[in-house]
Amino acid sequence: MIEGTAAYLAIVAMALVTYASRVLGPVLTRVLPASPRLDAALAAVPGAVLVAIVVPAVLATGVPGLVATVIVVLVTARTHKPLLGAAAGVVVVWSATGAGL
Amino acid sequence: MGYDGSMMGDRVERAAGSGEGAERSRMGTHDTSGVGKAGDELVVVNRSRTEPPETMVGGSSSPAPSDGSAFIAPGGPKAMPVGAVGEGHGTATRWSRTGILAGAKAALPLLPGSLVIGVVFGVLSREVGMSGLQAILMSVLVSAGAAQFIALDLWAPQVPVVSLVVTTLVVNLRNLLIGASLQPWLGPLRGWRRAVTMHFLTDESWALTEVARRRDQRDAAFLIGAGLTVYLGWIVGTATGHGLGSRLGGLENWDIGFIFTAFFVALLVGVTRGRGDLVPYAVAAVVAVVAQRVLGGTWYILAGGIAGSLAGALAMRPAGD
Repeated sequence: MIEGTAAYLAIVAMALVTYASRVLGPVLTRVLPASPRLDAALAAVPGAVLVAIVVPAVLATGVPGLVATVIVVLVTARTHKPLLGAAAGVVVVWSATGAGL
Repeated sequence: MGYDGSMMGDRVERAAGSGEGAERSRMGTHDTSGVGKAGDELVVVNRSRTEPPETMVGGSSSPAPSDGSAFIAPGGPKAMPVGAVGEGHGTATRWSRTGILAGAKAALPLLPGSLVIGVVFGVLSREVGMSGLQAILMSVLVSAGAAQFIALDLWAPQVPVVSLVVTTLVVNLRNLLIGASLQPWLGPLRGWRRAVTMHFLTDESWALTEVARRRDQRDAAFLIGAGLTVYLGWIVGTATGHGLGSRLGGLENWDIGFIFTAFFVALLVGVTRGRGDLVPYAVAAVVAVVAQRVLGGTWYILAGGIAGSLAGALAMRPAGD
């Protein structure tokens, strides 16, 4: 069936493209000239990407999201246990949802 | 939990988190002139450490001394970007089942969330006309949540192959960035082991690995384990959701996605090095928020990540060496 074939073709193509994006990042760093600035840039990536992921999401969740984020940061910083911090934040948001906020 | 996040501050200590009898060594202060020395120190430490009889990076199973020399890139320690204090204190030195287990354990909190979101994907995939096999195949081969949900939006009886490929590529561009940020740590990993390991690169597995790396995790297979947990939950969820179909409902009321957001916030605390990060963070945040409004889709993550990374590079004090 032609439609079925197109679907599997699409899935495989998506998979190849996705895998390429996963595997080529490290290759790019080998192509660029090594320098302390490049190292600093790469070292700054984790925080930057996490912030970029998190901030819009938190803003979208509104006030409960903001409060939850503060709680996550405080709990994680104090206990050094991300699981605890994340759980605390989720509790805040779900409580707000349950309370109809 | 198999690991803890920790605030970095001015000093970095190697914790006994890797469970391999890690020795303690001080990294010194922020000035990069100390970094070169610390890089040498690490290599020396690697040489004298007895490696457990597990699969070695590069395929060699010979004892420590040859491993030590294998991780000095041509050009000496300078060619190995140890970088400023706060990120990976050197490269991964092994690739073994221990690492996979450590990663899988670290990612366990994300398993329920990935199962639920997988179920959502499964249910929706049925509604747009995907077969169970197609849905499961997509989750196994692509295993990228954002791309897969967008694919659901585009799915039609005449499957638009080109649109799907282009949007998948665009959505996954940030993998280039996060993959690159792991390169100083993954460096020695080559060949089929690297090829297999990189399949498990996702936002979650990457973030977990970055935190573990700062806790001196040296097993490159940690990335596999960290990705594997969510991967399995995702696949099982997909299959379950597609199988159960519309019998499941009401999941959208509870913000399941916030589980991941909260976790990312917690991991953000773990990778934060100190006050110097605040300006790059602010730049990343502003760019991300603006980009989300201006551009569609998930460009904003890539944009914010690049902007924050550049800000971090520009803010760097001139290196001593």
